[in-house]
Amino acid sequence: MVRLLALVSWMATAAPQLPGQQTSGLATRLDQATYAALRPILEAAGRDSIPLRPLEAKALEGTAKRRPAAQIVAAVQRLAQELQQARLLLRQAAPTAPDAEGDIVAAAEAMRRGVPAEEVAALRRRVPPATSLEIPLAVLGELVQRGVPAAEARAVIEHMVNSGVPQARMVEIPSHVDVALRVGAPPITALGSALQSLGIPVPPPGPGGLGPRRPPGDRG
Amino acid sequence: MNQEHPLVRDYLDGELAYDALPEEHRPEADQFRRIADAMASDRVALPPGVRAAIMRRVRAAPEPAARRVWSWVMTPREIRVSPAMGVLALAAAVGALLLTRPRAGTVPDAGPSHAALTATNTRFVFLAPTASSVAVTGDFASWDPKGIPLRDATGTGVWVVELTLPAGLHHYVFVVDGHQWLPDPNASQVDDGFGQKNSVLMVPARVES
Repeated sequence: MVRLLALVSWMATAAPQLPGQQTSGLATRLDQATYAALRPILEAAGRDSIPLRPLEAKALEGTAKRRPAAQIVAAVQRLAQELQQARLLLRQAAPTAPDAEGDIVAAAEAMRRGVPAEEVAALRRRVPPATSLEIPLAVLGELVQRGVPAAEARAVIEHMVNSGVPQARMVEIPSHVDVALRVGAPPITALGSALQSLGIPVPPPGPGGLGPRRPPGDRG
Repeated sequence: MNQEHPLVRDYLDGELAYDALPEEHRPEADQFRRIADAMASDRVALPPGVRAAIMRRVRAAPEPAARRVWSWVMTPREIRVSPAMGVLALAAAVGALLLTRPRAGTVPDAGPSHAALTATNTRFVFLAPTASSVAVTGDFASWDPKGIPLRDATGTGVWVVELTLPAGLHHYVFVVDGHQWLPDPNASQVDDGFGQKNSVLMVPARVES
């Protein structure tokens, strides 16, 4: 009985699992050399509270795709740096917002797809801190990748988040933009058309809006 | 339901005499009149003892299983458990709590401030008329190289599977014939960091208030 109670007590105070020894079975799916090379990266990420799940996923992806160990390690290292930069950017933009793994991953991917860091930061600053940005940032990345100017795309996303547009509607925008692009519409016009076809209110024209920008000093 | 002819209705309402009814409508009128007369007749008197016999049958009918289970569950009864079983149950509960606690180095998602994120059914469709097998793999499948198989139910080369995925951003590819890794031609693509492309799937959060 005493031994059983001791076992229970030990379980309650057991040290946290080391990075890599997760239920995802990283150690079992990677060869020893690759796992050994990745372990310092994962441990460092763990110490810095960088999300580990996407790093492990990238390692598993590389193994599944039979990439060389060096390529897997490089990809995971690069992703760790991107996640660190994304987290720093989001924290600086909204210090009171929680560090959400989804937001950090989406911010890193948005920047990888061409969204300038200042637009990611602007979006974080201008929506309530507790709002999840994972889907809004993903949609922003989709729009910028399709050629929509980043500032306009960000303004639209920001408007939708603050207006309470459901994410289920937001994720439909890129495919509607594609329809307009296929018939030759410029990206910004395609975005406006997509919003109208989805019944999403278009932000008012002006700086950051969808309308034409007036040059500085133009009062006409 | 067939409606009676307006003239027949007038007859039944007493607004038109039977003799004034055209001959072709009289059979219909007769039929409705018979029905109306039957409904207006006096109630049938039951022989003595029939009502009592019916109630005896109802009371003897077996209680529905659900009601029996509910009665058993709600009836207080004495349960005896040895201390060892109690400790084992406690250990199991502690073990379950430890397995579900956040790992070091990860942070929980904040999520929309007012919503419960729910999983969503997502349908994957891939056109491969000459393939013998198609699977989908990605972060939601831990990048298992075997993937989750799609089915070509109609034999037309349209491979389909429907999965329940958590809300958020996902990367995936299709695996054709076990060795060909292809992004989804109908989805956005991003560099995978290995010189190839992944497809992007955005699963929206559904607000449950």
